[in-house]
Amino acid sequence: MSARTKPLELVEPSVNDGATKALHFEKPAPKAAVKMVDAGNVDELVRLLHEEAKAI
Amino acid sequence: MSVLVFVEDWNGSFKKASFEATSYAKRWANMMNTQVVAVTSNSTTSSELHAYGADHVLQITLAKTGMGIAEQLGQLCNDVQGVVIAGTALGKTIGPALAALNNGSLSTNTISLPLSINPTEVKRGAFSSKGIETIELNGSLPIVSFVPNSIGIEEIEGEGETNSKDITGNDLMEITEVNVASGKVALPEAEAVVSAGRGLKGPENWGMIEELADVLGAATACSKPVSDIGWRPHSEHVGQTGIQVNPNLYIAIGISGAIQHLAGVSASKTIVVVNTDSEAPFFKAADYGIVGDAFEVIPKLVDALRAFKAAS
Repeated sequence: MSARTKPLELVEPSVNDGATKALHFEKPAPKAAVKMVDAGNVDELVRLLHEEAKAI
Repeated sequence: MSVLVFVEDWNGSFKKASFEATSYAKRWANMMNTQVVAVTSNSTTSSELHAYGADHVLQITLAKTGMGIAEQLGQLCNDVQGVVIAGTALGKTIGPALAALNNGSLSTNTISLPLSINPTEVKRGAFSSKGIETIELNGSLPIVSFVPNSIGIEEIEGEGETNSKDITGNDLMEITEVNVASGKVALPEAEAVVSAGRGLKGPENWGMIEELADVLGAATACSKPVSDIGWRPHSEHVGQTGIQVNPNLYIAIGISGAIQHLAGVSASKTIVVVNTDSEAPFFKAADYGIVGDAFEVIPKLVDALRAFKAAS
């Protein structure tokens, strides 16, 4: 009930002076299809991460 | 005139993101034919910053909070053409406050160097990194807060000078307690992350995840359900409502790949997924996938990586 009796303060909206402007949007480059590695051949995953992805 | 860069340190050492920030500032400054002023509280290893492009290092005693630091940086911005801040937890609090205090225009989540300088245009991740926005900064002070690991570091044979200055900032809040995350590698700036989900069946099985992270020098992370049920601390939760990461390598183990999780990790450069379910949606976002039982695959992967490290 206190919400109903609380005075409502009206505030004027502030003006957005446009400090930033969105120029355009794009989608990220599509990823290549996932390469599946056999669960019994993790050495192949290590090779791919080192030689192809250069992640390790 | 100069480009100002805020250089964060932790326990007396600079964060990798701070070197990246300095390197970003140098490349931006070169576009404007001006110099880089690095602001830091670190008084012991500040000379390291010259190798990443800092022409001048300014040591100040930093305020305790982002708001106070923003006020300090604002006092240094009279002849500044741009400000660079790494998008760390602290950096994310400084940027908006600095923009508000100095009539600046801020680009958060920035993932590119400036495309142009007058006006400044940059690319930033939008819509939880599902899109890329090109944004123009029209305020009198362009401020760039970039995603760590997204720009890269360039070392140069640079040298410069170091000065100190007395500037005060008003901390509007008092920090009463600091809890430090227990992980060996800080998750938001980690170059490699090993993350696991409910597929691990219980917190007692996280030993192999930590072992794999150790071998890779990676941070450990988890999905939201895992932190919600208390298997891992909330500080490890990555995803749309957790920490958003951008490592070179993200390994997801036993995580199905809900869209909220992908939103926090999709900017990773290489994603590896290990899951028993070949239909798990995470495979569509992955670079490499293994359909298999984590309890069999991960120990083999740890051994294979150890052998690789020993041989190289």
